[in-house]
Amino acid sequence: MNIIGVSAFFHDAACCLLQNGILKYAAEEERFTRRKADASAPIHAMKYCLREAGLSITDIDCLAYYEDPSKKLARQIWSGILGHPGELLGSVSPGHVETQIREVLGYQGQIKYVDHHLSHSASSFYFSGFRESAVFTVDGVGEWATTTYGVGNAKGVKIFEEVDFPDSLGLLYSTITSYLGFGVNDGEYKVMGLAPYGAPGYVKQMRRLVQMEAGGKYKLDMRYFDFLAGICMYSPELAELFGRPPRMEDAEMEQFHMDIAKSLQVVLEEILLEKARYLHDCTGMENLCMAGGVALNCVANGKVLKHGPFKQLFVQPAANDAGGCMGAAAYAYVDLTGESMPVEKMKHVYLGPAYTNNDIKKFLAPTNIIYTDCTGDPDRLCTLTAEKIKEGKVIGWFQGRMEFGPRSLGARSILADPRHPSMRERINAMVKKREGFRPFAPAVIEHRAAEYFDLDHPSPFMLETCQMIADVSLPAITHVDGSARVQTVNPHTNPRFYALLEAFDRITGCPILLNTSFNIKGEPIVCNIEDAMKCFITTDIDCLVIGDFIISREENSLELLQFLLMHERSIYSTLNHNVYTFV
Amino acid sequence: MQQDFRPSAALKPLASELAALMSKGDINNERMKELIAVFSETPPVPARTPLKPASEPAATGNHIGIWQEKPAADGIHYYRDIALQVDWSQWAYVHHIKPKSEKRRILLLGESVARGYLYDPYYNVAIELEAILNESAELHNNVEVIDLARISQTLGGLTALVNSCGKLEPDLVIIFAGNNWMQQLQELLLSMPLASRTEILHTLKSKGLGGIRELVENGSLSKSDKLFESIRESFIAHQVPVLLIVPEFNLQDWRSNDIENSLAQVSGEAGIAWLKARGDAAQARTRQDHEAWLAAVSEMLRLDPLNALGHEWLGDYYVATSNWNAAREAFETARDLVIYRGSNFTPRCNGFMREKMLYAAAKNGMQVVDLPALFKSTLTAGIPNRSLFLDYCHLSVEGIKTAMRFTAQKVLSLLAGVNKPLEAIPASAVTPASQVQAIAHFGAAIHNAHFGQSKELVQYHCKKSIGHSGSVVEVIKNFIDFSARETATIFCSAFEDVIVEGGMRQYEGGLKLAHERQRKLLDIPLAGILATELTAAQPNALEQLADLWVSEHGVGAAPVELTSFTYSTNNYNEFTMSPRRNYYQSRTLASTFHFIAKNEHEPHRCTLTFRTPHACGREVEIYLNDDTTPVYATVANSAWKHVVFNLPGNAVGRAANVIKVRWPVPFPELDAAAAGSLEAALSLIYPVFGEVFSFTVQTIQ
Repeated sequence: MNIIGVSAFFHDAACCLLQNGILKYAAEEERFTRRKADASAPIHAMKYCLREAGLSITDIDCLAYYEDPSKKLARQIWSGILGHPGELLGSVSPGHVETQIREVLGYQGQIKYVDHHLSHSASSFYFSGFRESAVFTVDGVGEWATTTYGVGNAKGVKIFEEVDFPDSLGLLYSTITSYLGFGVNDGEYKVMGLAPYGAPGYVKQMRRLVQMEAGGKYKLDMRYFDFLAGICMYSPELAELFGRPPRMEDAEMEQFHMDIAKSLQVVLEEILLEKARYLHDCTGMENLCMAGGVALNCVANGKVLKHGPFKQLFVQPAANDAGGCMGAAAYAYVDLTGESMPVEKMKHVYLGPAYTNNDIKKFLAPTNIIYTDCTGDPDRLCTLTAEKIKEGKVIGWFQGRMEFGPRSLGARSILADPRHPSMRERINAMVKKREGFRPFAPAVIEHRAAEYFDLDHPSPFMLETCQMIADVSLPAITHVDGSARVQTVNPHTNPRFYALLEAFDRITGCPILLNTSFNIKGEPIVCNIEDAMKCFITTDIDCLVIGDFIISREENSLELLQFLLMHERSIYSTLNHNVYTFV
Repeated sequence: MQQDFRPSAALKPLASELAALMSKGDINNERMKELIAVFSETPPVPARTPLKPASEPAATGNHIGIWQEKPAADGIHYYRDIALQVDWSQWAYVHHIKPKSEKRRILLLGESVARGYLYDPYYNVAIELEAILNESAELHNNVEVIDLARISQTLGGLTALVNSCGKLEPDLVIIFAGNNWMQQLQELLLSMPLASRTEILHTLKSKGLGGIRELVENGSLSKSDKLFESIRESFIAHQVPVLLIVPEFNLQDWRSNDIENSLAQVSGEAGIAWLKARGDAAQARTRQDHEAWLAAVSEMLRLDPLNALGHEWLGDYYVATSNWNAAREAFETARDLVIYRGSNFTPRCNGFMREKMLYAAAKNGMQVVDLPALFKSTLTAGIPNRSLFLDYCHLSVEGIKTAMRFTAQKVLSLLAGVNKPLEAIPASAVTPASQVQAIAHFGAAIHNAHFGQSKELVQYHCKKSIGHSGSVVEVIKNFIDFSARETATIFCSAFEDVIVEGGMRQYEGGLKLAHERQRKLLDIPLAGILATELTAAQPNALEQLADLWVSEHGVGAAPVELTSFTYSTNNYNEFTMSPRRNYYQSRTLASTFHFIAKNEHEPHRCTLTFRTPHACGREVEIYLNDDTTPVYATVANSAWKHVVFNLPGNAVGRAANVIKVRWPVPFPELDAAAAGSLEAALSLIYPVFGEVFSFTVQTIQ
């Protein structure tokens, strides 16, 4: 049975293909269109899935969509959509989703609509490897729900309690994100990265934003929020509460802003921990699955696991809305077949397109690019790359199938030496072209992780933070609070990345690399050869290792290409990051 | 407003009930009407005034176009702003504009036609006009023309420029624009509130495509009014004379493309009759049977008077019979019928806009150089063609010189107070170098090909190019090379060579040769024409091209998707549907795909997933390198149908092969009621004849 899963029309559109219950292909639409967080119908991602599977659209048994448009419309009506201008009403017409699926995606077969948070729940539980688990989803908003409590077992996934819009931890987080001068649905990671630099001096004020209630409930104090009106996330009262006006994008980052970020993080962790305890009380289960955008807050997840009642935690690596397509497809599979999903933990996220050495060679052939060809000699490729990293070079690493989800995990990565004292500043400024405080994460050989980090289990998806315990200096990947967001790498899921880590370990004695996403600020992670070349050429990346080929900046004159690419029309995000239209 | 800044919780069940009813789509449901009334009367949560950020962004500097103001002791100088370097290639290649001197200063504002597109920066409108005036006895060496024309200048951009350029203290302002002023159908639709879009449907039902055209034209009025207001306030009110040059169109040689002249408004049996008349007209023309030719074209026009093709062919008939006035009228009608903006709409100043410009000029005290009227009265046959134009609106050297003589005549009157006959105003002695002219015609060949113009016209410009200068051959070779590559043009060394050597600087700095992501043309017909023209200098040019195609695109055992941009089109005349579909749509009666075969006579296997929205039960036919005998036919359906068939080896040639999918007739009957959305409305005006989800070709193992 071939099921297409689709997330779209809000942000992070994506498509996946589930064949007989096995997730075969998945990709975000933004990677193909180069529009960050692209919400449009995932035509390229869907084409990719079908092409790779060798399927025609007539081979698809069902398209599972990650929301119920009718329920969402109810929430939009309640929020006041009918009082808004006709244009906005038109954009949320009840038939919009089906029209898009039929007319834009061209799909004529059966459609199953799976509730947003049920999709999130399924995307976590069905890929967790757990036979039974409590399921906790937290995000901005789906239809009505913003937070749900449920269980997953052999009978399927069920939600037994929810918190409804506008009470939302995701929107709380996004509101503060916007107040701090970052884009909504774009800058939340930055707030999380900023928090360790701050002190929790505004916890008291932050607690006034959200009132805890019995059971799983909580309530936002809407005096401080303005997102219902669709213009700005926060109200003037929020600034009064904190005593400072909102920060403007690119304005100086002051200690105050860091303190706000820290205070938010503390309050979020408090709430998640309390509600996780409630969920445990309700279910009595020892496993916890989490999903939804807030579940990407790995610092909070770590606290939930460490201080909460659950023994095991699984966070689906594409926990944001993009991953909803996986859950919708899995839910539809169970529903249509009456069979259970295979009980198997998701091993990797390398579900996107790959390019062969022939593709790369063909791309390079008509260019003036000088490269080293290591075809058929992966050891040489890894050794040469490791030596360059040791020399302080920043590497663009483009290997195999692209990751699904927001993290680069060794397929489309920028890599560097974590021991280098100024590496973080250099990559932020010259390569990623982003804020200097943004942290980087380490990738470490799986069986060596415990030597360096307070970590006793694999962390393949870079979704957990832990303390550095080794007496070594790795300033580029260690936060100010001594923590790190670790990715463990084993030879089975990414043999080439593992081999590179081994090669680096051989020549330096350090089995760790700085690993960050292969993109620059405001752009999606690179997808294909051309994207990788453009990112390499227009940034300060020293060396591009693409398939079996190594392209060094010092061996090439790239100024002309830089000039030409500067003139090429750039397509950046078309989203309004001041506020999302939640109504 | 609720006390807690949120709508009442009591409304939630009602919202759910209403949403459920709306989703069922029963618009006459009384309960739904009641609930809509409830929510329509419930005001949304009001926005509280957003706080101003801690600091406002710095105001932009004082600019005139790309030039930034820099005061100095001798006055205000303007230098190109490095921060705007990306835009430099759109403007004059002038780095520094000095303060006004003793010379009479003329500002030239306008669009690409005023830029001297394809000759600039070596030769352009400003150079020619300045030279004519400075060679005149009245203004001898006492004139400077400040060139502020910009490629793709919009009405808004032009208005902003008018508002800012007064600081240059002109004695005269010339505005040579109007090609970009017509609102296009999609702009009209997108600018409308959703509720008003039904107006389109009502108009379509009651007045047909002509009514839509009226809407488009009226929509253009309000846009241009702001410009004339600015001109009046900035110049006329300050006694600075303004001269408006109304552009002309390449009436005889520029033709509507296959989307623009598709059978948009003819359905059912009339569609079949129109096709027959078109075939009859083509045959009659070939055998020069004038009587039958006119009869067939008349029949085309009777059946579909709003289709540009009939008028173009009528114009051809009148040209063949030396009826010049009638020919001009027919060509002008054809020009004005094109209202749809595809991805590659050809700018034009149509009759409606010309009238508007003449009216506004008279009303505001502006002088006018009305090129259409002047060309009509002074050209031998009165119909401009390829001798005056490089493409649809961009003038050739002869065209620029002619237009600037008319302009100089007016300028002499305005600045020197002399009224000289045209015969007394010679063109300047400035003539672009042969290499410049060669590149201009090569650029024209590319431009014409990328807009889907005829092989004959593309050939004409290729021959002119090589005829002007043999030095263009190396540039052409580079073009053939990077066009044939799968790699994005911007990375290709052949493209770098062109840029470094400046060989195509006239083509927007050479950057126009690059392409958008994933939208590279293989340029099969153009490359073929170019290679053919090169054979005199390079006898094996065609074989080399074939070898390159085979090595880059040769089909092997892995399926190649023919609906990709590279293999499904040879030009940018794409019907723009937003959002883009996940599948190929044909709004023409036949779809053409290309594939590159590694070997002659090698059979290939195709898989095709297709549907026809309107012509179920009729046959779709597939042709290979031939329009007469299909290699495969299958019944069409409105549901996707997946078929596999073989291409016979004997019909396969080495390198470029053409597969044509001919969609079935009759055409869909129009049903305006079915057009509930913007996309549906567009599809009603330009119906889809066939759709392809996937079309692959591979060798047979």
